[in-house]
Amino acid sequence: MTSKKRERLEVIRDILKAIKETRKIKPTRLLYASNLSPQMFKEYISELLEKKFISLEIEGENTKKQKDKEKKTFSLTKKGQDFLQEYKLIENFVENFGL
Amino acid sequence: MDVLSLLLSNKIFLEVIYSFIISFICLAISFKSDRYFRLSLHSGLRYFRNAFFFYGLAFFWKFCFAELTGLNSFSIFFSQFIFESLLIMGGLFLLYSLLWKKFNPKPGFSSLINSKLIFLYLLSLVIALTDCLKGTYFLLFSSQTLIFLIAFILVLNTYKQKGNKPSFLKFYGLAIALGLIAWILNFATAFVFQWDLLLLISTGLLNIIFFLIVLLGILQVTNKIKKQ
Repeated sequence: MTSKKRERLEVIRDILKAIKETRKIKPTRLLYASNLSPQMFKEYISELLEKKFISLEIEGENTKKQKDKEKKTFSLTKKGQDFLQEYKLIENFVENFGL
Repeated sequence: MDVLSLLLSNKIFLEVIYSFIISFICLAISFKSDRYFRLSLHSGLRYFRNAFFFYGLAFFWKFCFAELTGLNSFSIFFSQFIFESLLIMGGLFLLYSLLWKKFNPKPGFSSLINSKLIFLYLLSLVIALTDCLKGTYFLLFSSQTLIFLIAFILVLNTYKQKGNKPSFLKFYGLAIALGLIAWILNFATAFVFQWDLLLLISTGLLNIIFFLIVLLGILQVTNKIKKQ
């Protein structure tokens, strides 16, 4: 089986799509869905949080004892939804101008 | 026919019209690419938008202050310095839009100022200042020729490497090749043909075609999908 290395924009689209499908998704499930190494996943997630394409919600008390019970979930922001909606156009623009 | 020859003989009038057309096209390119940059925050789109923003500013400056060159030596110096700096920045951003991946930038950089871009600003200021002090366009024309030559090679390489060839990429390469020819012609007009008017007009037309192809390309690649 031959597999083509995904472009950066494609990876971002895949992550956002995975979040969109479930509305809220846990980090571990998102890691599997994104098909990335943990290190790469961390980089992409920091970038997406910084760009405000996704948001991180933490439920539960933030004490040391309760840390295990903390529930982290990612959800899509309005900006992330806009990106997904116009993804094809953005990809087309970037590809056609070699950017 | 008399009106046409009168228009052709009025260099300042031609410059004003030419600058207006190019600044208008660049403004349209910047607006369109800004929209897609804001949606994606893609660095390539950021530098591409910046390139045409600076080209637009340069020609808008020329459009507003073309008459200044007829005043005194300081106004000539000042006008040329601003115009050249903006133009060189445009070229450097255009090149950087094709090269940015090699510099591995971290996300979140400011659009117009960051530590790497300051180097580009300094470079453009030094080139423009040197040219203005010498009263020549030598460094402007040679730097832009070099920038367009490298950009052409980069686009050609990208085109060759892409398995699934993007439909507009070859036309973008063609546009850059036209831009390159225009800068070479500019150089020849200034240093070989003593600012021959017909050559200048041809160069101007080539430049307009370059910017038009880019604008039409953006319109084409962003409209095609919408219809599907």
